[in-house]
Amino acid sequence: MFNKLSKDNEKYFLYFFSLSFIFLSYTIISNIYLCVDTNVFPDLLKKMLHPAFLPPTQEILLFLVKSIMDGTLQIHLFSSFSRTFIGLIVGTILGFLMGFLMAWFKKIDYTLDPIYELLRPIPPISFVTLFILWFGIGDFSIILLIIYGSFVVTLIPTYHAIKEVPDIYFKAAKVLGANTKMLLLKVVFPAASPRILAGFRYAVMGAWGMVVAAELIGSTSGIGYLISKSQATLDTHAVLVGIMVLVSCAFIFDAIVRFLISYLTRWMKRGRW
Amino acid sequence: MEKLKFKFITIKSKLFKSIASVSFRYGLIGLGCFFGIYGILSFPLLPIRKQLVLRPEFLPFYTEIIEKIDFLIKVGLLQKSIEESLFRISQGYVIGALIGCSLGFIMGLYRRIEYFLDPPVTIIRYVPALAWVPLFILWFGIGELTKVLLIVLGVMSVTLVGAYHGVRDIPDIYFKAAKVLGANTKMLLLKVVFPAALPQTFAGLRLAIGTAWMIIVAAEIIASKAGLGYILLAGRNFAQASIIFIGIALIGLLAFITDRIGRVAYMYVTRWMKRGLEV
Amino acid sequence: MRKVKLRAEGITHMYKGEGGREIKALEDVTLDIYENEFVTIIGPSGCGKTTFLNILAGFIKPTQGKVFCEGKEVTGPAPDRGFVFQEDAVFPWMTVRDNIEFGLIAKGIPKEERRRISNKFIKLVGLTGFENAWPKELSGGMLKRVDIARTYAVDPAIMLMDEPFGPLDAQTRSIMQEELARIWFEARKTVIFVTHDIDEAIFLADRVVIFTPRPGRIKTILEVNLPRPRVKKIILSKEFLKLKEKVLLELGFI
Repeated sequence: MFNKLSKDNEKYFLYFFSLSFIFLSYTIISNIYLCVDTNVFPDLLKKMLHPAFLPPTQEILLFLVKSIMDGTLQIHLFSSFSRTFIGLIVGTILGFLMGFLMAWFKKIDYTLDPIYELLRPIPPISFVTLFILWFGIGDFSIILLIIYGSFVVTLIPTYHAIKEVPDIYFKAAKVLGANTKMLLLKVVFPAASPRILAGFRYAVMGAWGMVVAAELIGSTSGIGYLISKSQATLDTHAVLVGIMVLVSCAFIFDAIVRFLISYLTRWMKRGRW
Repeated sequence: MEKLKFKFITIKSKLFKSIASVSFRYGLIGLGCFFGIYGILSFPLLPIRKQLVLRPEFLPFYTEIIEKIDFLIKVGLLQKSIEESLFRISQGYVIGALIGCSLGFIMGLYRRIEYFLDPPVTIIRYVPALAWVPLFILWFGIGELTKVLLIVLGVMSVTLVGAYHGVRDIPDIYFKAAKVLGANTKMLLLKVVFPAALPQTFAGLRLAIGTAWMIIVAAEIIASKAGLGYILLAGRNFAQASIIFIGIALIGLLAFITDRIGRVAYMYVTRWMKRGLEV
Repeated sequence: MRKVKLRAEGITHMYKGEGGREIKALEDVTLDIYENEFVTIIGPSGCGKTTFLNILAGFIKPTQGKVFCEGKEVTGPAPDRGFVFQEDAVFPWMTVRDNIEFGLIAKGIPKEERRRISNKFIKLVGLTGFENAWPKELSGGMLKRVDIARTYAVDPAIMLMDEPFGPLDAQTRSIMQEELARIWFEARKTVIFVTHDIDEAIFLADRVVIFTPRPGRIKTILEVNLPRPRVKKIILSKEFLKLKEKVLLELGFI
């Protein structure tokens, strides 16, 4: 009754329709000031239609092309990328190790759990000013922040995933003669991998968001810095370009990670988890 | 009277048992090391303290932190910041949750609407919440609207997903069963879809609390003259790590409390469910 | 003189139940299992037969008594006592072949040899053509075959099976029973098989061990002299029904 849908085609049609609707309406609205004398409109409306508020689509696209041509976009993108990747890799590996240790050795779990519970409610971004105070504005503070954020986000799923590996797999592995190394590498980690990978996906998104935020707060390079600078110079179109680039990158990262995950967990029954 | 006394005794013995338990002891060691090591590093009389990171402003000792708390309370900054942040969060959260849940609910029920709204919703979701800040500053200035709107966007994204999955994951069989029992659309919605969608919706709502805190902290650092995020900024501007620590602790405490409230709400709403593994 | 593969001596087991009460699961169970015989264990629910099997496997340490496998005392699970579980224990992240070769890798057998052995057992359980399939693609019965194949592959001294066909539907169960009888006939092993299905117990066994209700003790041991290889039709034969009558009597159903 509710979920009736004629064909898959309708799905793509609606997507396309939606996207073009947004694109077209924005283009039209942002270009109104060119065609019509806006002074006839009430003040608020006039302000909203001003190109500084809603930059016309052409301006945005032109600026995008310009930034790619003169290389500024690439340079800053590279800064943001490298911070994200370094922080992610270090952070997730550490988070994975810690999650594993806490899940495998009860004593480590008992010892570290209170510290973890204390730090858990604190959003990682809160540490940004502290790191900047301690280590100054620059790559190190931002990377450290990403490491911390990825660490926390990866630790929980790893911990739960390993703890929840069904007992029966342990038993089966033992009666087949597996030693601890085989048990870990061929049984525990693969069994826990779906959940850990799901956590990794969140870590990627979180890391990207934190890099941008940290760059907005205190940095001299990176996409976040670009956007911040454009805002200071009232270049709305540049800000919008920056946001567009951000979204595209986020989307691409997520798509890559999702693809990776679907390959690595191709053995799973398609349920939902 | 007897019953009360008995209950008290059992609670007391349970408490003693848990205090004496292995996990408690190890946990104590862990916490002790953590705070102890910090205490040693931040101890004021250590000679190397003049260098680098170990400067007293960067690693304040516990006494100094307490002094600062006192100071902040006297100046009234503490209470005001908490008030401001909470005020902004609650506004943004309520509005965002309402929009998000309704949209998610409708999108879950009607495929056409889902496909139509999916592109803009996905785009908004993929924008890191703080990337909107410069744009909003340009559009709305450094004011309440910017921050509240930011939280609205963030909370909306999370709750939408929760509500959406809450509806979509309802097993088809419940629809069939309701129909053969003669339910009309109104009954179906009220007594089947809505209750069945609550668990995941509330899971999303709880998650959104954490999201809201993340956003408000960063937003207040970037664009604010008051609030908990501002305390973090002030700490850095005045080069007093103690202030930052206090800010972090407050944020953590409030985030914890609000998350607990969310958890209670979730537990209550899902009281009919077989207990999975709850955090 | 038949060789004793497994010996359980004076097994008594207690455990803490709800509310802290001590529950006696098994009382003074002594049993000799001979080489290459198929023994089934049957008894009412809660009589401790699964607990007994777990003790034999080494998953549980008995409160009293000892288990000897080929003369050596049992102290924990090991590949010389294979175990086929009731629930699905096939590793879903490995293909059929990888599952079967798991125990061989644990034994340190080189690749070509592993390949040869896994091929042999894939053929034995009738899964040729499914070597590279994912467990998610297989039916319940086929998954059981994988489990049996991978347990066979490590060449255990004795195979323990805990109601392996329990979760299967009635028809698949019937097919699997015949399959198991055939597999066992082609590749002899000492097997101890726990079940609550009387037909199954008699159909597969050389000897049927009947347990008492809790605390579990061995009530009777029945010799099953039906001809091998077993075919399903014999469950209608006079001899089978006579045996069944005896079992039903011992269990108190008639």
